Parts: sequence; structure tokens; C-alpha cells
Amino acid sequence: MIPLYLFHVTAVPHSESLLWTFLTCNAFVVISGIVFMYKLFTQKKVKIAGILFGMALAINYILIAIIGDPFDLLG
Amino acid sequence: MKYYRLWVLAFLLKFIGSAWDASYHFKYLFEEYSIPHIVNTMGFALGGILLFKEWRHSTYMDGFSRNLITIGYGLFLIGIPLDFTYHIAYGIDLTTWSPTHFIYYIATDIMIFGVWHGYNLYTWHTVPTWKSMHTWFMMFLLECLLFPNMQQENGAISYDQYIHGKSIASKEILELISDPASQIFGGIPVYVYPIYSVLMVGLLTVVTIRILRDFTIPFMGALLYICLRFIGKAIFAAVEYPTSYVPMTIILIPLAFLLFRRTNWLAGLIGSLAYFLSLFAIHKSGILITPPLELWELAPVLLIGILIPVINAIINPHLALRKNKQPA
Repeated sequence: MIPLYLFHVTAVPHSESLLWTFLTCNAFVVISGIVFMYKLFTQKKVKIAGILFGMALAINYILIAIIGDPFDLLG
Repeated sequence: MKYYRLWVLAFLLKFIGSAWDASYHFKYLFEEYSIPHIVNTMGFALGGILLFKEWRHSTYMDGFSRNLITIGYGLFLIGIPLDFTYHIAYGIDLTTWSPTHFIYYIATDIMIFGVWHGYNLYTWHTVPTWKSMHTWFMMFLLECLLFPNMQQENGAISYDQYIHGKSIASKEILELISDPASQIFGGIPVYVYPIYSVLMVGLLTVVTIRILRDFTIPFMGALLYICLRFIGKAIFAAVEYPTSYVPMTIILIPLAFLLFRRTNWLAGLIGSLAYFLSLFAIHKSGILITPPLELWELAPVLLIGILIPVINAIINPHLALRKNKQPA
């Protein structure tokens, strides 16, 4: 792995098989989240951006609950 | 005021949960029903209810403060799937300094700042004093900004126990350790600890003084933080959980500004000098186990200590919220 200080992790075995699926879903939540937060900061109407962000979060969270564990959702 | 007291309770639950979690992972790797996470989530949920209430009927805070808190909540919720993906890519990371963990800290900082901003406007007709909830919000923000240091502060004691063969960590944690001097401290260079501390404490102190025009609130906020850390340490010690070094010398930074009664370079210099030298003296004398330190780190610490008030003076003074010291 990349030998950066911030990427310091344990050597616990782990699977990277679903990495790209999660990365794709993460990209969706990050982009919709940035739009939502920008609209909040500029105090514009956030209804549609909020719904899209909520959907992106729901997809990511359902995936985590299925692939991982519901307790992973506690952060 | 009950509304803001409930926010204090919400952040207190988050504080307890996160401090407990930091200590927990120096003993155990992972447990499915991690109670520290549940306590943290209870604080998050209570804040969520209070925020939802404000979205339905705007009563206790202005729209911008409410939006800031919502941004904090949104960012925190984004952090959860990103952290999960990070674990898929790199495995479990036992460090406070991971990039995805920083999303949580930044998100919580924004939440606290939003609530504090709302409280400041809600109490615009009163002069801010340390006896008000300003001290609590100052303390919560300080705790959140300094949270990554828990790796070094817990790590210092855990490392000392490890090298003397007295580790209280579980077998599964001990099996993971191949490079203790690096892993226990989260892979972070030793100079980060004092530099990061003086940057965060100095910055928060100067910004708080600038906005609230009160020198006592940062000092009392830091004092409250240190007291709560000592209470936490006593409880962890009583139940045989890993304890941490309490960064009591940070109090000298807001104390210097309080004594000088101005945010100038000299107060910054004296505060950061006193902070580092007292920490270094504790480290060298061995009275307490502190994170590792080197004397040369004094130079960047002093530079940052001086630069913070200097930059503050240069930035347009009209940006600061003005709140005159007049009787209510």
C-alpha cells in the first residue's frame, strides 16, 4: 500500500473485491452532498438537492448494511 | 435556554462516546455492539432531533446557524460510507489520524460552531461571560479540534506499558503490533503533537476572543476541558481501561492572552513558550508519561504561537462580529 503516514493501517486481512462498487456509490454521495451543502451555505432552496443526497445516502447505507454490518453505520 | 442545554447534553454524549472509543481501541480491536459508538450515536441522534425541530419551526436559531449545523450533519453522514470504503481498501486502521476519521472531526466542528453561532445570536442582548454556555461550546470545540491528539496521549502510556511488558491490551491487539513505536502513535511523526496542539489551541483562543470580546471564556473552556479529561482518566483507570496523558499545559496559551488582555504577538509568544517548556519539563523529568518530544520542536511551536495573533491583526477587523461590553 501507499507508504504515506496518513495511510497507516493495521495488517488485518481484508477483501478488496467490492472496492469499485463502493467507490462508485461513494462518488454519488460525495457529489450530491457537495451540491446540498453548497446550497445550504448560500441559503438557497435545498429540497431537490436534499432528496438526491438522501437517496445517495440510502443506497450507500443499504449496501453497507448488506455487505458489512448494520453496526458499521454508527461510524 | 432549555433548547441549548439539550445541545450541550448532545455534545457531551458525543464527547463521552468518542473519548471512550479512543481508549477502547487501545485495548480491543473491534466488538460488534461497540457501546462507545452507541453513546456517540445517542448524542448525534439527540442533536438530530433538535435540528429537525428547528427545521420544522424556526424558533431558537437563525437560518444560517441551522444550515451550518445541517452541513455538519451532512458531512458526518458522508464520512460513514467513505470510512467503510477506506477499510475495504486498506483494512482496519487503529489511528485517530486517518483521512476518513478527519471527516468526522471536521463535521462535528461545523456542528458545534453552528450551534455556538446560533446561541451567540440568540443571546445577543447579553454580554458573553464564562458563566454562560459559551464556555461549554468553547470546550466542545476545543475537544473536537484536539481529538486526533488522543492517539499520542493514549499511545504514550500504552507504549510505555508495552515496552515494559505490562500492556493491558487484548491478545488480538498485541498480535497486530509489528512496529510498536510507529503503530501505537498512529504512524504520525513526533513533531506533529506539539505543533498541532499550539495551532489548534492558539487559533481557537484568538478567534473566540475576536468574536466574543472576552478573554475569560477561552481560559475557562480550556480549564473545563482539562477537568473533564481528568475525570475521564480517573474513570478509565478505575475500570482498567487504557488511560491517556491529560494535556494540562495547553491552559497556558489562553492564560497568556488573559493576563495580557490583548491578542498580540507577545501574548502568543509567551503562551506557546510556556506551553512547550512546561510540557518538555514534564517529559524530561518523567513525572508523567507524555507523548515523545524533541527540544527543536520549540522553534515551530513559537513561530505558530506568534503568527496566529499577527495574522489575526492583519485580517480585516470588520470581519469580526462586534458585541460591545455594555450591561444588558
